[in-house]
Amino acid sequence: MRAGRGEALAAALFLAPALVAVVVLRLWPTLQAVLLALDAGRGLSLDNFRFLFGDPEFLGALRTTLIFGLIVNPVQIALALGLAVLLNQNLPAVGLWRTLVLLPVAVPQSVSAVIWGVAMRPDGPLNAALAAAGLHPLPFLTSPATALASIIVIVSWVGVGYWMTFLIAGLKDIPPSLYEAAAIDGAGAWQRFWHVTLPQLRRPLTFVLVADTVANVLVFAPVQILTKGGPQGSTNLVMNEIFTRAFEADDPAGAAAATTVLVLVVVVIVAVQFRLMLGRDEPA
Amino acid sequence: MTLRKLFGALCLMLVLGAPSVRAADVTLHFLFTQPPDTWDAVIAAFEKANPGVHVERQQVPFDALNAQVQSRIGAQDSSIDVFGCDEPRVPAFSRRGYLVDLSQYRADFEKSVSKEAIDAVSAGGKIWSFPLWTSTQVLFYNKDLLAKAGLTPPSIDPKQRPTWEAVLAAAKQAQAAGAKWGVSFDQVDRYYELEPLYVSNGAGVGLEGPDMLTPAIDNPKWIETTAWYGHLFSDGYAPRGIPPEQMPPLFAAGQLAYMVAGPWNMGLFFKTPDLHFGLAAMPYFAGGTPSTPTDSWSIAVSPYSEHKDLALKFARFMTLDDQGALMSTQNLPLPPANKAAFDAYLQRMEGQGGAVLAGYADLVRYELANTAVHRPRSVGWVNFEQIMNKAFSDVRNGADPAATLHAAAEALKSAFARLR
Repeated sequence: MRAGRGEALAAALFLAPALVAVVVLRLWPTLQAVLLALDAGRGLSLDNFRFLFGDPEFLGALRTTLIFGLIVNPVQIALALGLAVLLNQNLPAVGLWRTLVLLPVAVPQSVSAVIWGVAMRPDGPLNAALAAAGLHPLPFLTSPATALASIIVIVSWVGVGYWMTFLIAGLKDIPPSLYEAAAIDGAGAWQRFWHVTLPQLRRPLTFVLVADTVANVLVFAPVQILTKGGPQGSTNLVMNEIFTRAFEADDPAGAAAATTVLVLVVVVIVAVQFRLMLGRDEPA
Repeated sequence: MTLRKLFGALCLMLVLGAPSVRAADVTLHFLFTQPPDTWDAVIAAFEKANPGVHVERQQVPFDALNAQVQSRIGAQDSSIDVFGCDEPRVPAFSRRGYLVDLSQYRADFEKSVSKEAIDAVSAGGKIWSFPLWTSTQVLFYNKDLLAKAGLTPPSIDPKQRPTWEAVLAAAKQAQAAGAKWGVSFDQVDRYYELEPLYVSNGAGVGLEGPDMLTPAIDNPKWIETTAWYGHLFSDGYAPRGIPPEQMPPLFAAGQLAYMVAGPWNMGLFFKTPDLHFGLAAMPYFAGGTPSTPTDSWSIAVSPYSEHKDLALKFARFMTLDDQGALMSTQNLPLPPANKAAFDAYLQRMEGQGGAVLAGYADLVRYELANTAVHRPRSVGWVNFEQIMNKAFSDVRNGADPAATLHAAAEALKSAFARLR
């Protein structure tokens, strides 16, 4: 009993810094945002939420974020998985390829945004390459038809390599005996991938799916630096909308309400993802 | 024994090290958006006159300054003592509590700067910031590109100001003769430089009412002027996708025949080898009113500064002191708001600029006295600027002018309703 109490105390001591950080840096600001959103200083009210859900800018930002998420998450995870499987093979100089794919992670988001911004200028090197190949130039960040796709390319340039490393680690954990057994049973490459690799990768894939979804909901720097939400609101992701509202439009209560909505949306999405990926019988 | 020695050595180091930090040492944190060397001379002079005071520079991009002020001073953070404040932001920032009431120094202001300069930093009958510079815009042209097209350079004499119609025709001709681009603004998509187009075309400044909180931007004249702006890009006079910061280098690289821009760009142009440029009065629409942008940056003191007296002293030195005000123009040649420094600045510019700047002093004096249009002074200015700049950017990228202005008007009404 005494040893148990001692262990609990030690555990509490070790956990304390993390718990304090969670409370001070996460829970307290979230609570403040909720109180501000509810106009707690002047009695509770839902006026800020009523305003937001009648505001075309905010609704547009939610819609854009939804479209962005529906495209960027499957694309990034599929590419990360494909690259992980490929770079898990015994290829020549595989370490070099892995490093090259991971390298963009080391570049700060703001720097990579500026580099991509120059590359995607109408008179930039990407259009020069298209012209050299006899293709029409693309407007990239200057047209509402292509701007969101361009942002997806930019964030994926960083994201794919990052998520790939988690999946490679997962692949390394799969016992080779499972593949040998499957091969003895006559399973082909596709069947081995479908019936051995994917089920065995369920946990790392769940992590990547959840973390990637959250990271992509919070995409901000490339939008702020390259498009500021334009052209015509086509890249106005919800984080940019919150930033603009809080720090440019002097509407902290509206920004707090938008943040509250964003947190609720993320919590619901993550809960659904955990449920779908881990099933009912497994603890999340 | 070893530990004891180590402890003793540490104590000795602390004791010996202490005198190097004087009790009077103070660091003032100065937030701004200009290139850091803008302040070399004025900071050096201030630090020399005030031993123990160090001014730390914090430069942020133009587009980030609002957010920095809002997030840091708005959170009552004392890490900014002095900051650059674009003059039209004074009403909004004073309402939000980001500025110190300077009305007690009114007599000093009246001695050093004009009434217009005081008005530009006033709101609600009080003075809130120190006027640093004033501004105007000119039409730069590339002499070589014009000569290649057989074009006569436009005049620096404001009485012979070119019309936009003439400039566009000449720009097309220059492009036909090899110029990559014909004409552009350096501050593309920014209301500051585009406002004179609307005033020149009789469209108004875009806000109305006693508090300037009623949008007036979706009327036929505004739509017509905005469509004209959009055509500059759809018809290939000017490039899309290039931010304001990259436009002066485009002119310096010899890719642009004409560019409306601030005189501060001359520093870059004079330094660029093989660039032969001239300057003329800003164009106007035929039959319209000649109009030019004005107002500029002021220097504000944070109400949350822990060294408010020193911060006030530094801000005063940069603006109200004749010598300090002139030093503040040394590396970024904007006309100072200080009256004595203004005359000295014009003399210095004409002396340094040779034939290129002959007539520049007369042009600046004329524009400030006759054609300058102020941006709307309103607590809604920050919202207005942000929403309008986005609208201009959309039109530049091909959006329909009428629909864009209508959407911007709705966004403005929504934003202003939140202010009330």
